[in-house]
Amino acid sequence: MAGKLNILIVEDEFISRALLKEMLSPFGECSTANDGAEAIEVLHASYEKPGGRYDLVCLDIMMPRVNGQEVLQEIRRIEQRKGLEGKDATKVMVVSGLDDAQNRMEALVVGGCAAYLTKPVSKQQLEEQLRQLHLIETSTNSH
Amino acid sequence: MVQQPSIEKIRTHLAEQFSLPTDQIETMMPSFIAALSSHMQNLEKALEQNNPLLLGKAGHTIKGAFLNLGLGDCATVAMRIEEKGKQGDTSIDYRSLVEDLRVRIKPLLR
Repeated sequence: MAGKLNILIVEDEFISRALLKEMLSPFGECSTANDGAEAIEVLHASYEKPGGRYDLVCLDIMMPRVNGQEVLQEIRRIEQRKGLEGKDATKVMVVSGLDDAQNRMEALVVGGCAAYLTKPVSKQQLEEQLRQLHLIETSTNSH
Repeated sequence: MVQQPSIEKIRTHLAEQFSLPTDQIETMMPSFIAALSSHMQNLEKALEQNNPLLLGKAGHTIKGAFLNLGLGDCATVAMRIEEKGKQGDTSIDYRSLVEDLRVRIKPLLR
């Protein structure tokens, strides 16, 4: 994918949110949502705005009000209504402190997330994942 | 003997793990310490409410913060609170675990 990415970071914990934003900012414009309910509002608006869709959603799982699995399901519901499936679906990277099989399977199989990373995530891991998802070029060097 | 974390250890971890430049670390550090203090207060509130599920959630949150700051020993204690709390286990001495964390992070919150 050429050009700067439009990224949404959904994370309720301040330190994780700040670090993800810091690491992802070299690759594009980062917006943040502090919990799942705020994320759903932001996401609904993004699908209505021309060119407003996110190239990547970084999503925590365990959050107050609405959890990450519910956000992921809502993303897929919106996209199904709009006929956005397969390669047109938004790439979602789960970044969670939960590493149990149930959450992994639900996010990967039911929610169709593109990657499931367990905290803490280093800059190197994050960049490697962005490359695997073809969101940045292999030769990209942010340093 | 409880090993206490230090600001210097956190600085080193942030530089190595997240490739953050020194000036950026200095800018972020006060807000990170404030967040840690807030997470600790939430843990203590959950303890006072004697609610294992709330303790589990607060334990999960502070565990993530500890891991990001490279404080693995603290994260291990927080993970025990998280796991037992989520299970609704009332046989655990949560007060001792929270006190353990309070002692460990005291030097950071000065």
